[in-house]
Amino acid sequence: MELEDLKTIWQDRPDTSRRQQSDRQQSGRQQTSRQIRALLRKKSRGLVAKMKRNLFGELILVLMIYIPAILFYLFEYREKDPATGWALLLLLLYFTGYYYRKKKLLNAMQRPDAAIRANLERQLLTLRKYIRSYTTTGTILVPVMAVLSFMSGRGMITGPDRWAEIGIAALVLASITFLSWRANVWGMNRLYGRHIKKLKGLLEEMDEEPHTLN
Amino acid sequence: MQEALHQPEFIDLVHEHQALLHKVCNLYCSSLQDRQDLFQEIVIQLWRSYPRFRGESKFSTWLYRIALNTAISDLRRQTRRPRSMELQNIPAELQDIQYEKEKELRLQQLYTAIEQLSELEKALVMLYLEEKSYDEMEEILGINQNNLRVKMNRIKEKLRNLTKQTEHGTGRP
Repeated sequence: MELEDLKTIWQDRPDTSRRQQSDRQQSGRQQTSRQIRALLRKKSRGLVAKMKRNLFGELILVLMIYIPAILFYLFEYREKDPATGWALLLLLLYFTGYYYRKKKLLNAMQRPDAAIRANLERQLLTLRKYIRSYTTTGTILVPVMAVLSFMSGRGMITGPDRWAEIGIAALVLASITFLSWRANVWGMNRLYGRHIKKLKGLLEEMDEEPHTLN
Repeated sequence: MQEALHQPEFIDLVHEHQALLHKVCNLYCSSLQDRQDLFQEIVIQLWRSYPRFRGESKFSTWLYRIALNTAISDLRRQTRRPRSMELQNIPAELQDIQYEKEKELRLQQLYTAIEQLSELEKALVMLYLEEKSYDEMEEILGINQNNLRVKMNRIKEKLRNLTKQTEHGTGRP
């Protein structure tokens, strides 16, 4: 069977079922318009749309945790520990910048009106940046939070054995940071690894040189 | 406000080109649920991109880009089950259409063979069957014409072999 011979059959064939066709004949354009309007009201189930929804959820969670904590440290607890309040405020500002960057990256990923090759390339590049941003922030956050918690709970390390204590604390911190980095890399790979592999595969297939195809 | 202004015009355009959208869905999805999901996703992406359509390319080129981009880069259908030549696995539309028996069988064989192609090859077959010129294919896919012609020849050969196998009842290679 030659592909050429199938062109006419392909172009002639209606691509909706007989039931769908008869529905359309009965109620005409209005029915289809209603169906399309209903589709437009639905949420996208694409990967980027899901990532955007998750990001928004994360932002809400961070705001719900940080704002009461900041208010508490800055107003209720200001006599004893004002530094923690300011530190948390700085962290919140950092988070806001981080979410803004991620949102921008996700917006950049959604350009399906570009040529397919360009779109796949952009998706791969942006997804890699997104993952890097997530992994770096997730990793840095662990030692920062640990130091902050330690300072607000115990204050500075003093006393005769302070260097030994600092050494142990640094070692623990480094181990936790390493574990956090590994966990972040594993998590990102589990979430987006398959998609990255698919995008890379498609681009490789597109870039195959003609002489290697025969 | 702007959305309300453009919606009727957009709906008319989708209505006019919906056969094309269904063809993309049939090509990339084997189950009815997947086809409906993909159709919905394509319509949403078209609507989101519609304000950026400036008429620099033909409307059909723009539409193909969005439909194929959505179909190709969507993760969900990686878990789809393979389509076999058995009647229950052939798209409902195909079973439903009163086509001449021979034509219907050939289309069924074509769909079964296409199922075994890569996502990029499916896009090429679709554009070829829709009689798009190599210029337009280049504009939609972003691959140079020399490369496209070689790929197309290879796909034709592949489909010839695949359909030969289904004609002889050997099914999947």
